[in-house]
Amino acid sequence: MKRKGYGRGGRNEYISLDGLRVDGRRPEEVRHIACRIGTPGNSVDGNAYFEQGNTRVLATVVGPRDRKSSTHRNEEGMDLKCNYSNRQDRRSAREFEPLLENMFRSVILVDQYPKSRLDISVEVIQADGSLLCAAVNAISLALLHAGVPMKDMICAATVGMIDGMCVIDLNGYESSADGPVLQIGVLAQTGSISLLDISTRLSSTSQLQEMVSAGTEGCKGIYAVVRSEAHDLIIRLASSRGVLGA
Amino acid sequence: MARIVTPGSILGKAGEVSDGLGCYVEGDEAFSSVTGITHQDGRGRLISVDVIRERKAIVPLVGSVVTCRVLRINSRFATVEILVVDGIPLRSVFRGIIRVQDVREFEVDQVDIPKSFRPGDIVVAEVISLGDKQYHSLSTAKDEHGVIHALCSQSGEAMVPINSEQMQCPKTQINEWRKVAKS
Repeated sequence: MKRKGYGRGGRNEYISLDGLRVDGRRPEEVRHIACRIGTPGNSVDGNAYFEQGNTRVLATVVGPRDRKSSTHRNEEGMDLKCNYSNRQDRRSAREFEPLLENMFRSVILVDQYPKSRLDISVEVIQADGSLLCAAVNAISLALLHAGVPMKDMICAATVGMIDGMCVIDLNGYESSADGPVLQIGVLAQTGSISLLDISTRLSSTSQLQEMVSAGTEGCKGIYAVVRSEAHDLIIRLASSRGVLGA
Repeated sequence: MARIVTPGSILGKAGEVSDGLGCYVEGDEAFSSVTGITHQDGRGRLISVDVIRERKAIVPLVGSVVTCRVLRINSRFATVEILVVDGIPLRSVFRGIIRVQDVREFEVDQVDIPKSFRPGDIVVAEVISLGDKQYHSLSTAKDEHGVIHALCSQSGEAMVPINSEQMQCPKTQINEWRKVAKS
């Protein structure tokens, strides 16, 4: 999406004199997050919808189930396959899929599921920056819905450095700024980092530290929303089955 | 007190939690691996985390007792689809085979697959190995494992076991051979 009217004198302005970003956010502010675990009328094992500003993704999980074909990459353990689809940018799938597979293989308790297959698929409904991170968050929720055992939940956020200022959760317009962009995925409760991907060289390690700590804060904010949604799901299911008294 | 937990929530010290579904231990602490409600036994000890879902994410492991349906038979083995693992229905079936040498414990060389199973029978078996690439290997050698439900090939009525090797149709009084599970 191309926007006009922000630019001045050939160079775009990303942060106004008041210190606000193009969409009126403060630098450390994450866009509005909405998520829904388990969309009705779906036959898959787990699914989740995740929305971060104008970025909207849908993740589904099928499995663990029997492997059908006899060609396996992993003879004994679990086959984890991720399918990412973004109709506007088909090339990104090749870059994101292995990244997502490795990331979730490290967090799912794969040794409990020998000789089985787990299929994850992510569909980008609307793209406005931070796509990989939205995909990670949506997959986390879908896995949670499928009841697949994980060590922890992964929450991810993008951090950009624009005009020497750390900005969290870049939108599509800010993603086209030429500053460094860091994608960070954090194990929500233990706080350890499971994904760290940076687009350009940084001038100093202190800059990296600043971005990482800003990103971790962003992830915490996202996790708060995600967790309350998970709690709602459990209360909803538990009370409908009379498991939980009050 | 039941608690709502998400993956990564600390459940307690490793010794306090008995290793159950939905928990994992790292270092000396136990964590939840699923979203659900904690369960305690009579003495207030936490035993497991229950996922509240229609069907749990579960796969057959070595030693699991499974309930399966016979799909095809030949002289060497019966091909089955695994429907239930340890009392929990699967979301999607897994394939397994019961080889002729794993049907019963005694007189193994006398076993005849067509005299033990027929397609459509419901069989309780134990997983003995995860097998080759495609199939889980199952065994019905134990007394309590074997056919638990079978239909008469003539009338289609559910048959009743009369001994450990035969079942009888209540309608036609025909006896059919099966490896019957001891109840």
